[in-house]
Parts: sequence; structure tokens; C-alpha cells
Amino acid sequence: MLVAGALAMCAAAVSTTGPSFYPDDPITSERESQDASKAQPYFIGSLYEMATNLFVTAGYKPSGTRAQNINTIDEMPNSHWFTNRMGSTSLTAEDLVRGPNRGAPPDPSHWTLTREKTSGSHPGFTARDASGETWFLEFDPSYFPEGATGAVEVATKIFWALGYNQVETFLTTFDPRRAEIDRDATLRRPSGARTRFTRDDMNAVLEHVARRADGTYRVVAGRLLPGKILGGFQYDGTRPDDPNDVVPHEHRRELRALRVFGAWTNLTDLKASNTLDTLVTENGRTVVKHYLQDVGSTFGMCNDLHEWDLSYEHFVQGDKTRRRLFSFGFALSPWQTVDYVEYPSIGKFEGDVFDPRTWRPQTPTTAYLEMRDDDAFWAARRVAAFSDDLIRAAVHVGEYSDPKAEKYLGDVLIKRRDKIKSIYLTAVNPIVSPHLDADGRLTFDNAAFAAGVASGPARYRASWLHFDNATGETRTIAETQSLTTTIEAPPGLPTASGRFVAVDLAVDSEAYPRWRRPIRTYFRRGGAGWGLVGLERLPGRVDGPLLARRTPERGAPEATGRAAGRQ
Amino acid sequence: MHSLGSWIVFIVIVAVTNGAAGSVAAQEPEAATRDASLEQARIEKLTTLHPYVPGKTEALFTRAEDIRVNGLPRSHPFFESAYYGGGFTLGAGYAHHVSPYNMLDVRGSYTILGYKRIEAEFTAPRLFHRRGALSLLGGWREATQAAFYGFGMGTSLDNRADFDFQQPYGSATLTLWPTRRLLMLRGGVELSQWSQRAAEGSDFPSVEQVYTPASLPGLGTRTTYLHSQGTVGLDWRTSPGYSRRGGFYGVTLHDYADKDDRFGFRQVDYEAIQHVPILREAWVISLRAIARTTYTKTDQQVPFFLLPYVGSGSDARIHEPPLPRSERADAPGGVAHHGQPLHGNGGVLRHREGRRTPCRSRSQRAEKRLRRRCPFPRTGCHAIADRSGEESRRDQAGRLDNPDLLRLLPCSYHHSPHGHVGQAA
Repeated sequence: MLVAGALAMCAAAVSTTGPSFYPDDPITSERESQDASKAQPYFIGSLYEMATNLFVTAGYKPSGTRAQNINTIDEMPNSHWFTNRMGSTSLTAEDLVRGPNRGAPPDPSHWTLTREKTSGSHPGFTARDASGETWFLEFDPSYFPEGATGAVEVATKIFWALGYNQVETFLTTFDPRRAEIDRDATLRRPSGARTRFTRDDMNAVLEHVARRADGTYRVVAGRLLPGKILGGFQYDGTRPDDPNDVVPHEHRRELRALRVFGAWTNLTDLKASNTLDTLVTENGRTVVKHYLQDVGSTFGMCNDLHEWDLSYEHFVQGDKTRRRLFSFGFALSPWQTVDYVEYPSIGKFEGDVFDPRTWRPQTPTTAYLEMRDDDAFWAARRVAAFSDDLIRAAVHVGEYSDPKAEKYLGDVLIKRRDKIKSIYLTAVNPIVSPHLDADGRLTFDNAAFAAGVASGPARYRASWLHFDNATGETRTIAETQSLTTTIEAPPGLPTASGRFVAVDLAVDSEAYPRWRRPIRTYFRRGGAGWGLVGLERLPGRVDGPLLARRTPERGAPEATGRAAGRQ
Repeated sequence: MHSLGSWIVFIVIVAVTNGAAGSVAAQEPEAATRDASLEQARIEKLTTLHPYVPGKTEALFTRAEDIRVNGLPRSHPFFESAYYGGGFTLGAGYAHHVSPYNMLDVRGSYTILGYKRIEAEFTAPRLFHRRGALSLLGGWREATQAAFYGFGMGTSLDNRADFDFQQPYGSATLTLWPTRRLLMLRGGVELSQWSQRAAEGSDFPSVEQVYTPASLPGLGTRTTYLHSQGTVGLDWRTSPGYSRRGGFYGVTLHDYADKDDRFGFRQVDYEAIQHVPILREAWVISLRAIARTTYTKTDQQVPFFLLPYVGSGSDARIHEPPLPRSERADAPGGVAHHGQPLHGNGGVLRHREGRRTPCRSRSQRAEKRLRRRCPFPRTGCHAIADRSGEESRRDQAGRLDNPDLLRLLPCSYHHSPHGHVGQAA
């Protein structure tokens, strides 16, 4: 018995897990400190990725794990994946219109084609402009004049504002009469060989794209990214050759949130080949930077004129297929009855029947399936931060020649934004921005009320607790309540610097019973008063402390483990 | 009460194990900051860094994608039989690009009944600035026990007799799209020799045991043809072989010139394909019709094995031959008007889960229905309805242009010019 007791003491000594909050919490940036210069290019095959996502990932059971790259107050630190912009800082229309663009636009007075376009499904070339800079040119299909180019341009601004790394893009002109073929330009042929790029090869592309009356072509030009191209990132696992990539991608909030952002903009083509990792050297350290490279499959633009079911179903979705199969097709699916107002430059894109909860990308990703309500709430706040004017400013950069089309696109984005707000901001307790001042007055906002998607009487209840940061233990102090978003703290809050209190905040609202589930906030006493150090919107659910959970890496050697193991 | 010894043991264990724990903790010092805790995770990963290694499944898919993007692999399966009725076919081919676009494909097949085909084809798909494509084909085939049921559509299965033929052939076909879209022109010549012989290995009598050269034109002959053909067509399918809308309408003229002037004849094929998408392309009604008219040449006959037929395999029916002009007492003014409308690949009502219809029972029932319904008694009618599945609607629509994949159900009706009612399988 004594021996057993000794072993128990030993176990207790070993199992110490450390404090809940560190002095530097909440962190604001995810520092990528290790050298990643040994990362090697790899391009996952589209067919493999599609098959895996349709037939393996689709059966994936979400773990319910909290996002692991968030900080302790449920927000996203800046990183080489994500930068806080819309919703975190006050972006102006000018900021939005400029988007990721920092350099000068291309000089279209002369183009020199160097090879085919290396990514994306829309036709295009890789070319140098008159100033000698390399660009990726993308044209509009003949049946979508202004559509593909407009979607790339508008969506690039939107996704940049949402925080993603984006390629610099500009709408410009391609005049074949002022284009030449580089002497060393080559094209991959069906035989696999690369042979000289000819003018006929150029014409073969131009024959199938939208041409202006003056013989020129509208193109969107994407600037060549700096650094070494490593291929796309995947939506699960981690890069095995990047030491800084330690959070499984399915647990990265910005990738989960693409379920909401994708629904808003109809970004249906979520796949690795529409992303890009580059190896860049910054401040003397080589790190991997992650881009959402191709966001052109948005609005009503996705590859083909005939895709009626896009955004309603994955490419293969067993339940829907079986329903139609056994009804011999007579059980109509929603996409067969939706009324579209179709503009060639917009495509099939509407906001009346749209429901973000039933929106589907072409193939599911693990990150898409792992999205929790708190991720969706976080994403919805960013969408909600787009005012009508900002949306219309973003749409205007598409330079649509038909003002009705431009207005329609803006209208639909506004409608879809409003649906996302009304669904996701009310789905969980919407208390945000808690602040406890030195006098013990707790103030906060109700995001749903602030967004105008909920109203009515609400009573706010706060349960105050002592919190031991070392052990995680809590001890009740008292409960206070208010009919406003200001609640007075009870007497007896600690006053010593470095002490913690936890406050559970719930909302009593007849219309929204889910709000009764409290969020938990944590405050640390400092010299100047209380500071927010923690916020859990869904306390009690499976939580992964930041970076504590690991997933087998993608592409691990088979001798040591499964190549594509998932958590 | 515990003995002193027990307490000593307890103290020693605690001291030792806590010391061990302390040493473990010393090896992995607890981070003092969040940033440091993240750094620990990165440092830990440094020890396991390695390049991405695709698994076997991924490698397989990558190979398949490469084939899809870049065309045929060098080795490929080949399922085209030498002739109808040969049964299950297996074959293989080897394709090789001889230039960036041009390809040489050598292939062969063998059927369960011993039909053989071996051929080589050179294709140049990108001529005249993508306005033309050339095919050069040479090969040899043999059908050892092709079925023949006599002439006309009313013959019985009991009338079956079999024949063998061998045929070396060589052809050149040039296809042009002068405007790169809509208008299609095709011309070709073929030199071939048909050697009709006694059937081998068949349970049915061979044709020469049932017929004579007088009653069966072409029996036991070896005929060398120079077959020339020309096609004019309008094609606005969005992608031939992968279309859910659009259509193709074309006319092909054939001339079979027998160097001995015994079995020469001409044919005209009229083909129409129209895809009609409904319910937002979840379904495609694909209408396909082909009419073939055969014209004899003066004092020449059409050999029985080149007469138009309906159906395939065990249910093919060969139309009654038009009489040579000199033998037709009723030919008005001697003007060649000896045509007979005919169905080609067969009328099809297709659905995804369709099976080939048993030839007789269903066809007999269908005949009754079609006698009542068919609005085109003199030209025949075909309908192809496609109910495509959700997981591969595009695939399904694409197959509509590939006759090999069509499923057959009887829905066509034929009224021969000779006055009897025929029914196509």
C-alpha cells in the first residue's frame, strides 16, 4: 500500500501540465521560428485528391476538436497563413480595392508568351509584359465574357480582406497583334514532350475565349509570386518538411472557416491545386508562406456552363444520388427548381434560396467537416464586417460592362451575407468583446444584436469564479445579472496582481434558447486593472489546447506509418 | 501499524521516483510562455522532418491522371471485336507518340469464338492549323462463324447458317473542319479484300451447305474493293463524345468498287443525333437515327455479307438484297431506284441500368406496340433516352455518342419497301 502511494505521488509529479495561461497570452502572432529551407516541392494529383475527398473524407466523422491555431481569446493570431484584416482592423474601401496589390500593374502594350498557364482550369498563358515582369494571364470562356476574370478580381479582394494571402491581380488587356512568342517558350504536348510554343498554340487558346469587338481580349493578370513554389497545401495533416507547420490543417480555423466564406462567395472548388505554398526568406529566415491561390471559382463561375448542381451537392453525394436513382429522377433536387437571374458575367448565383448550412463545395475537405459552431461564428463576424458599401466597392473592381450585372452581384452578396449573419451569429451565445474595468464593471457586446439579426428582450447573467491558473480549479464567488450589456462585478474580486477570475456569461432570451449556454471568459489582474486572457465560446466541448494535439503528417514514409493518416 | 522497514522502503521509492520524474522534467523543461510552448512543438518536429512521400494509392492515381491528361498509356486494353457475334472480346494495344501529337497504335483482339483482329493505326489529329485530322489504318481480321439468317426481317432463328470471312484492309481517312466548328467534311479510301469461306467450328450449317452462289450473292467469293466515302455533316454538339446538348446531322456517300465489276454497289447513310437536355441536364433525351440506302451498280450484285443489317450478334437480320438493275423488271425507265431504308447500329432506348434485351420475346412484344405507335412507317424511328445518374451525369451523356456503350431495347419499326413489316431488334 505504501508502494502504491509512492507511485501515485510520482505520477502526480510527472503529470503536471503547466498553467492554463502564460504571461504572453493572448498571443497575436504565430511566430514561425524554424528554418524551413529544406522543404521540397510536391504537387498532389487532382484526381487522387478528388477521389480521396469524395470517397474517404466524405465519411470522416468530425472530432469536435476546438481549432488549435487560435489564441486563448478565441481569435486568430497573424501567421504566414492568415492576417487579421476585416473585422479586426478598420478597412476602408480604398484598402479593399487595393487588396493584395503592392506593385505596379502590368504594362499590356506588349506581351511575350513564355509557356502555358500552369494552374487553374480557365484558359491562359504565362507571359512577360512590356516591362519584362512575368504574369499569369487568364481569359474568359467565350460563354462567360467578363465572368472568369471578374470573379478572380473581385474574389481576390474579398479573400484578401478576409485575411488570406492572395496573389496580386490586375484586370488588363491582351492584344494578340502586339504579342510575340518567346524564342525559348515551350508547351507540353500530348506526347509528354515540351516543344516550341507556336503562334498556332496561342490561337488555339484564343479561339475559345471571349473576344472584344476591337480584337483584344480582357484578361486578369496574376503576378508571379516571390520565392520557390512548393505546390499546394492540403486541407488535413501537416507538411512533413516544414518544421513550423505543427497544427493539423483540419484544425486551422482559417481553413475551417472557408466553409462559411466559401458559402458566401460560392467558392466551390476547394482543393490543394487551388492553393500554393511558397518558400520565402524573411528577416533572414526561410519559411513557408501559404496562399489561397485561385479563388476564381466563385459566384457563378466554376469551370463549366452546365454545372447546375454546383454548391448544392458534392460531385458525388450518395444520399442525393440514391434519392434520384430510386425515384427515376422524378424526385427533384433543389438545384433543379431554383430561379436564376443569369448574367453571362456572373453565372448561376443567387441569394434567395441560398442556405449556408446546405451549401456544398465540389468535394468536401477535412477542414470543412471539422468546422464547429464557434468557428462559424468567428467567420460570420468577418463576413458581417463587410458593409454594403464595401461589398459594392469590391464588386466594382470587377469592371463589369453591364451595370445591372454589377448591381446584381452586389445584391446577391449582400443577401448571402445577411443569411450568414442571421444563421451563424445566432446559433451560439453571441457575447463578444468582454471587458472588465478596474472598478469591476463588466461590459460586452451582443454580436447578433449589433448585426441587426436578432432583437427582443434579453437578460445577461454572469457567474463569477476565482480561477487558479496553475491547477485550473475554480471557486464560485457570486452571480450577477443585468438587462443591459453592462454587469457589475460582485464584491470580493481579487485585487492582487497576477490573480485570475473566470466569468461565465449567459443570455436569457426566449427567442434564442441556445444563448443560455454560457461562454467562459478569463481575466487576469494586472497593474492597470483586468485584462482579458481567455474566452471559450463552447466550453466543455472537446478542446485541444493550442498546438497540443497532433495529427499524423501527410506523406509520411509508409515504412513508418500511414501516408495519409488522419486524426 | 507499519514497520520501520516499510517506511524506509516508502521513503526510498518516493525519493527515487521523484528524482526520476524530476530528471524527466529537466529533459523537457516546461515552457514559461506561450511562444516558448509553441517553439517546443516546432523543435520536436525538427527531428522528424522528411520530404513528402506519396503512398502507393496516390502514385496509382497520379499515373491514372497522367494518362487522362496526356492520352493513352503505351499499353492499353482493346475490346473491339473483328465482327459482330464473336462473343466476349479481349485485346491489347501499344500506342506510341511518334511526334508531339501524332500517334501510332498497334492493337489486336481475340474473341471467345475465335474472331481475330490485328491492326495498326497512325493518327495525326492536328493538321492544317487544327482544321484537319488524318487516320491511316491497316489491318486484318477474321470472323469464323458469323451468323446469317436469310434475307428479310421475318426470318426465323432456325434459319441460321454461319460463314467465315477474312479481310485485310488498309484505309486513309481525312476529316476537315473548315471553320473549326459546325461544318465537318470527311473523305476516305479503303482497299480491302473480302474472302468469304466456310464457317469453322460452328454448330450451325455453313452457308454453302444451305445456299448456292445463285441464291446467295457473294457466296464463296474473294472480292477486292476500293471503297471510297465522303461525309458532309453539321456538328454543334458541345463536345463530341461528351455532350449534353447540340446535335449532329450528316450524310455519307459510299462507293464500293469491285475490281472485277461483280459486286460493286453504292450506299448512302443519313445520320441524325440530337441531344435534348431536360430537368437542368439531369436527363438528356438523345435522339439518334440512321438510315442507309443501298444502290446496286449495273449488272452487279451486293454480296450478302455487305448487305445492311439490323441488330447484332445472334439477332442480326440482313435485308433482302436489291436486285441488280438488269434483273429488275419493274425498274421504272431503268432508273436506279433500288434503295431500301435501313437502320444501322440499332434503335436504342437507353438507361443507365439497362441490359441488352433478349432478342425475341421482347422484340415481338415491341413489334406489336410499334405497329400501333410508330409515326414514321417508312423511315423507321429511333429514340435514345438517357437518365443519367448524379455521380456521373457528364460521363453518361458522353456515352451517348459512343455506340459501343449503348444499351439496346427494341423501339424501332421498319417498313420495308417490299411491303412486309419488319421489326428491328
